[in-house]
Amino acid sequence: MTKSGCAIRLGVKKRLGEFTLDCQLDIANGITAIFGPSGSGKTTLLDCIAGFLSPDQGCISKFGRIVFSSERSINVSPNKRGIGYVVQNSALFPHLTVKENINYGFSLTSEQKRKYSLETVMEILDIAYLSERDTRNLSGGERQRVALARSLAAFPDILLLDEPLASLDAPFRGLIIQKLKIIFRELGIPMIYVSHSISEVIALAHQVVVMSEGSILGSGNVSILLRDSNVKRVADFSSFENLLQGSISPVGIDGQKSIALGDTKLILPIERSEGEEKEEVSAIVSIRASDIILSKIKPIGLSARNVISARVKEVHSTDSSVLVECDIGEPIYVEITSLSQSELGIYSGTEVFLIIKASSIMVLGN
Amino acid sequence: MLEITYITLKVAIAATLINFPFALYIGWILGRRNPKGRLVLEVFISLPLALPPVVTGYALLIALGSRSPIGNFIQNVLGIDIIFTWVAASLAAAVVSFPLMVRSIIVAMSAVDPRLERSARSLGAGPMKTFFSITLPLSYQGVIAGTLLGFVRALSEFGATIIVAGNIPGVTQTLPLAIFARVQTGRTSDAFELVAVSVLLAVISLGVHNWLLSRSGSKGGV
Amino acid sequence: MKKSFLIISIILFFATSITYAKTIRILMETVPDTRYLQELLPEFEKQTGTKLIFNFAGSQTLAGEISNGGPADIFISAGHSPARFLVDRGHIKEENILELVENVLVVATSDDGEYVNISDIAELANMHRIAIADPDLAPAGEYAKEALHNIGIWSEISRRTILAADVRTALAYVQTGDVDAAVVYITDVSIAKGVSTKLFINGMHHTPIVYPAAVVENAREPVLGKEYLDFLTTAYASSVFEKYGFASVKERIN
Repeated sequence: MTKSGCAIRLGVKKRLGEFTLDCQLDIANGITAIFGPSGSGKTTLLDCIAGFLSPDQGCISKFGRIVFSSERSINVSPNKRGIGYVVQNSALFPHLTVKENINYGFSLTSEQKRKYSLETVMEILDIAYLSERDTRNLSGGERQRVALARSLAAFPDILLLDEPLASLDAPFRGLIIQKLKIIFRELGIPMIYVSHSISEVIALAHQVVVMSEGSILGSGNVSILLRDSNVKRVADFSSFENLLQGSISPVGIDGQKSIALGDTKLILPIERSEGEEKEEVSAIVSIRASDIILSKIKPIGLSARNVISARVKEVHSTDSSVLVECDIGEPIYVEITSLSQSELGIYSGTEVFLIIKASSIMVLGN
Repeated sequence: MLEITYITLKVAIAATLINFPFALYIGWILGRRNPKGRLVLEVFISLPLALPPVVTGYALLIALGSRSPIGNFIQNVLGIDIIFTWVAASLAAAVVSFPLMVRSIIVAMSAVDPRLERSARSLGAGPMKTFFSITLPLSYQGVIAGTLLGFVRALSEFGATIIVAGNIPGVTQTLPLAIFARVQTGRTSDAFELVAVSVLLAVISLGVHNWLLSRSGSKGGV
Repeated sequence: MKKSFLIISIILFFATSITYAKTIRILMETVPDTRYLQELLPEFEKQTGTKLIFNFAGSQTLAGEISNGGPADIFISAGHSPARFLVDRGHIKEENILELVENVLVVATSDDGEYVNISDIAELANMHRIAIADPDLAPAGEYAKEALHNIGIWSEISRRTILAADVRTALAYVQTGDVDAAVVYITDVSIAKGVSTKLFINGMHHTPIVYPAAVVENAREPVLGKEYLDFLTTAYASSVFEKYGFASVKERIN
């Protein structure tokens, strides 16, 4: 079974009381986000793909294999679709230990289908130390990792995730974002995840499907979120945060801690409670778009620790402000007012300087 | 007295065993799934609760008597007697105690977080496996409570029993029937003895119930 | 506002059940078929303007209720023991006892099946099973057992006799085919469809099945009660009783 081509191809209609879901969609191999305001039908769509909801009419196929067809009366039951589902709040089995939870799907899979070992999964998600634990006293991040491990141990061809980051505290969000990227990279499992946070979608997804009121507003590369005017309508750009992945160097002789990301290096705040890390650690940092200051001339004598030169890739206007997409080896977004944009003359190609206080950079767990 | 107690226990245990798989299944259907015709099913299983046991007794007599299709088949083809035997007493007790058992089970099963079951399904577990590995372990206290409740009710069943099983000493005379017969004939001290035995049985059942529940803490969904 | 409306409704609901017409309370032994009573009732109420309230109970309960001072004007039992009990305790006077009608024991079988017609009581001994009311629970059973014993077939048939909870149940067993015949009062057979009287049992085989009736000593309406008892001995009442199969006591004596 090749992994090229459409992970999911569907065309479904489903009526639930006042709400109607009506979608036509091709989802490619990769990490795909389903984005939209609450009530837009994202979870309903996921439930249809997983087989927990039967569309009134339509067809759903996974890598070419039909799992639902109203015309042909095909409706493969959820346990036979090979589609994993991580629900919100993890839903770990409370009467089983962590290891038993993870082993649940593993033991239901025949030996020939087990493409990787349990140990691999537990290593990727870094939960070997939790094996014999009860599921009741785990932190949010631990629960989510166990839930991911559990789903992966069932060897799904596709993994669905419903708001995987929503119930997590900030430090854990970064961790899970990393883990999801690693899962795709190491195990090659395409993921479809539901999110209402634009920042997360931009940080994590290759593709995005934007939904509103039961239908699809647009789909494609993540950039449509900023380009397509239809799509922008439903996106909430206020408090947009950049979620960037980089590697943190240990505290140097100069007493500074920094993170290397993209082409550049950012100085990080040092927390008093931190111990001495001896090695480089991969981490995700969050920088609010509104916390970055743009300057057309190189500033001097500033208290801010980070002054980075960058080139403007594109300027996107949202209803409340302007988001300037800059290239620092990775895209980073800066929020400014449209007045500032016109006064300073910020356009695609403009060379600018980004000013970021160390304290504006939040390290999201490692 | 020993014989009466033996018959009573035999009848009540048989009734509970008969009911258990049905109560589990229907408890699951009504507690966890949303079947079509749910209302009809709910009314139907609650009928024995609402009707006087005597009515239930007559209904069973008509349904299982020698002339009925079912009764005829069982008697003439299978060669098994039902009416006026302890089997009839068990069936009467089963029907009357079923609503109590199944309602407790419905409540217990509907308290299980559906997302846990969904997770199990998406991990590859079919409906049966999900039921036995997830739903049942998480609702077993309610299942036990319901079963014991049904058992206690079966111990005290009278109105339906006296009709389909008769009040035959040594064969179908259970504790409730024996107590009634003695009261009616003025043998009140004999009756009191039997009442004491009844109370003892009930107390033991409830004691077992509490002991079983105290052995494990509650395990709801997290 | 709503609360007072509710209270008023509840009061009215109960108030309307207080009747202001004269009423007699009749405490009577449970009988399966009360149609003759229902036929007599309107006639008496029309004649005298008195309302009748019936309270049915089993033998023990009956006697017990009156003994404990439960309100009753008239007492009617099936069989003498409850009456005896009450006489002994002074709740009714022996000379006030009126023997109303007399009942007849019959053998009833299903109208289709093996025993559609029986000519001799001895055939009972060959049957797979018969039913009578449990003698411990109902007088009808006592009389049945007494009769079968005096006829001489009780020892043979007792092992195969089902002692039913009551007459109705005994007849139900005939209907469902679980017994071949039931020995019950003639007045009861008509309640069971598909079952009818096939044989009469001669009254000499058992004590007379009479219905002693009396006005209770501390009745609230002794005069009205006596009126009712007199009514029950009129020609009209007799004709109703006979229609349902009762024999008049006077007939037997004569």
